[in-house]
Amino acid sequence: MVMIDEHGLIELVNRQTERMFGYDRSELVGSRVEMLVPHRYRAEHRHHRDAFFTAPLARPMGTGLDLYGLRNDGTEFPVEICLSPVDSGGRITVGASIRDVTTRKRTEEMFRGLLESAPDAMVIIDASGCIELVNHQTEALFGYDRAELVGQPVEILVPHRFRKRHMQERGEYSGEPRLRPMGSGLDLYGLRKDGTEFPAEISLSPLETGERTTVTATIREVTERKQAETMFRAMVECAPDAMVIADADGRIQLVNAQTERLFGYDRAELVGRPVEILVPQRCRASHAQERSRYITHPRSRPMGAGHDLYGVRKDGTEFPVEISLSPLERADGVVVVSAAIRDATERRQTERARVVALQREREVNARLRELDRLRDDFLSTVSHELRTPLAAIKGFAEILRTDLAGDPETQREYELAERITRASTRLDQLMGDLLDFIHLERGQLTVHLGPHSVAELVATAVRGAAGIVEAHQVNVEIGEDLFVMADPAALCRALAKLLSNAAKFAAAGSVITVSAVSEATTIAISVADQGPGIAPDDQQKIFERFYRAGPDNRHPGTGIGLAIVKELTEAQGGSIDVRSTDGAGSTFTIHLPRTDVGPCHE
Amino acid sequence: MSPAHSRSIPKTGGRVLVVEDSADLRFLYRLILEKSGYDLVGEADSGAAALERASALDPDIIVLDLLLPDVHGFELVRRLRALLPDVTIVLCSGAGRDVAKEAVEVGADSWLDKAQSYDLVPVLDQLLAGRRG
Repeated sequence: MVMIDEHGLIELVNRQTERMFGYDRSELVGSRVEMLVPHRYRAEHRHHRDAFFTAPLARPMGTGLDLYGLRNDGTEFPVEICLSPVDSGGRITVGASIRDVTTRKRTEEMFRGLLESAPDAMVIIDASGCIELVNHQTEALFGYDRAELVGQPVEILVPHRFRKRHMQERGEYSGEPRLRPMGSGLDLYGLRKDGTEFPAEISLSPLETGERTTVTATIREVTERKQAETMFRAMVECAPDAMVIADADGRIQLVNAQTERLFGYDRAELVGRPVEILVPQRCRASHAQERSRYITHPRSRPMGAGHDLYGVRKDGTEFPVEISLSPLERADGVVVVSAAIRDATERRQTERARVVALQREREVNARLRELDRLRDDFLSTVSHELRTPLAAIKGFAEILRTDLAGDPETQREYELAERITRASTRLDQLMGDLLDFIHLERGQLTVHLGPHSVAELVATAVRGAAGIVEAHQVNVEIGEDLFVMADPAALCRALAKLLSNAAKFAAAGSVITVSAVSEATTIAISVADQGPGIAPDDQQKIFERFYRAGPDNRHPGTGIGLAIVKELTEAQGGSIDVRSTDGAGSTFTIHLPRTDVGPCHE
Repeated sequence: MSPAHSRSIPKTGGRVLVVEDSADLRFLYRLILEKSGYDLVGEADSGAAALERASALDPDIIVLDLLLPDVHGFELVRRLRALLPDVTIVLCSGAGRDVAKEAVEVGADSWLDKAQSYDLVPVLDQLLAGRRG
């Protein structure tokens, strides 16, 4: 407390003044009060002092001004000063009460620093809704300078369409101020200086300083989050499946339109309810158990992972579903579960139909196989039955032929017997072709390979063509002992066919040569005739089924003989080729793997 | 007439039992074997008769038709083989080559295409030569 006279001279000081400024009372009394004011303010202070004495009124000094005191040791300190004029018999003195506000100033600075360092925009408003203080983030977020904001109603930051309501709510809030955290389910927006809006989250907290109550609003722009959320919702909405997101307790948090459509509920009827509302009554208990097990070990589970699952509609009807689950960890660490649900009615029907169709197909196949087998049996039987009388005809004709041979008196009978033999051999070969063809068609041509003497097999083959090659001279030229890996029946049949083929095309009396030579790894067995030969164009085609060389039907045949020879040969791991000069005969050669081991007899 | 047709050939090839339901073929075999070195000791026209004849005659060779009125040739081969372990069995069939393998599997020694019935003798010769060799 300092008392000064109208000239600014100190009249009286108290102990606190001595302590505050570091002077002795005697040093102060009688001196000008400006000795307690920092040099840079002294001229101004004198001016203010004079003005005060012209109209002395009690007032707090320096409202809105930063005042400082100067200590004896030259240090400064912030002060607050209150002036009160004292009229003592016409003479005016002034009592200045001075308070050291160093501590308060420091606190205030800390507060401001705190405010500025906050990551969010902070606005402090007074009870009347006027902005008292903003931080840098507020300037950046709203695009105003703080000078443009301080003193303005806070509604300057609120979009026009919300202002009226905002003022009302502000009134209500100031009547009953309480802490309101961020994001309490309100859709709030901020308005920038340039007129653009942005979604915001705002938390409010009342601040009481003495008798005054201010409110601190913390404002956070959530445009990105809002966008992400909008995108997420759009994504969920446009998903082809019904999507249900539930929290760890199984309460539905979010569903999409497909869910509404599939289950017949409005989303408002579902959100907040346990997901079991969508599960048939009989499965609910186990579902809840499974769910709690899942939440402790959540993992992605794709659709239709072997579960027979059902959903239940609002109207109580059930339907089969496929469900894929995937845990979603929110930013706050809370795990929610997203379920994609698909109506599997159609798929299960399709599956059932497919199973039925498959079963039917299996039955049909079995029936076809059975029919095949019956046909095989029938063909075998017919073939056997036909061949029995044929064998008798052929055998008796052979006996006759043998008995009649060489006797001029029975020449005619001999010739007839020979014709019967030839015709029956031919008939037998045709039946053989037919059987072979059926087996080839079915891929049932099987061979049993073993080492065999070429000479023996050729002899058997020549005997098999008896009657057919009687009119020709058959020369067999096999020098040494040669052995092949062959199926004897198949090879004999192939050779017999080549022989009868040669006999068919080459003129009677001409030579048919059967020869065998050893090659590097194979034995080449050839049947050469002196017939008309085969045109180059025909040479490749003659091994095709039903292909018949030549322009006419002079030579009867089925057209499958050489195709069968080729397949019989290839079935034994061999190959066949033909060399022919037009007009100078043909040579068919069968190549089969050579072996040096002879056949073993018991 | 060639010497092969003479009836004076000594019957040293073996004693043959023919099992065939066709009388014509039985007659054919008879004619063929008559002029050969084989001795036709009996004939049967069914499986039952074949078993009876086989056990009574103990032949060296049985020429057997695949399709008989009472029993399938494969089954008959098995039974005959059980009865006479050392007998040589030739199975005759008109059903094509594929029967050959199965015939041997069930115990026949050889197989003869029915159409080649006239070649029975060379087949027997070859078979027995092989057996002896």
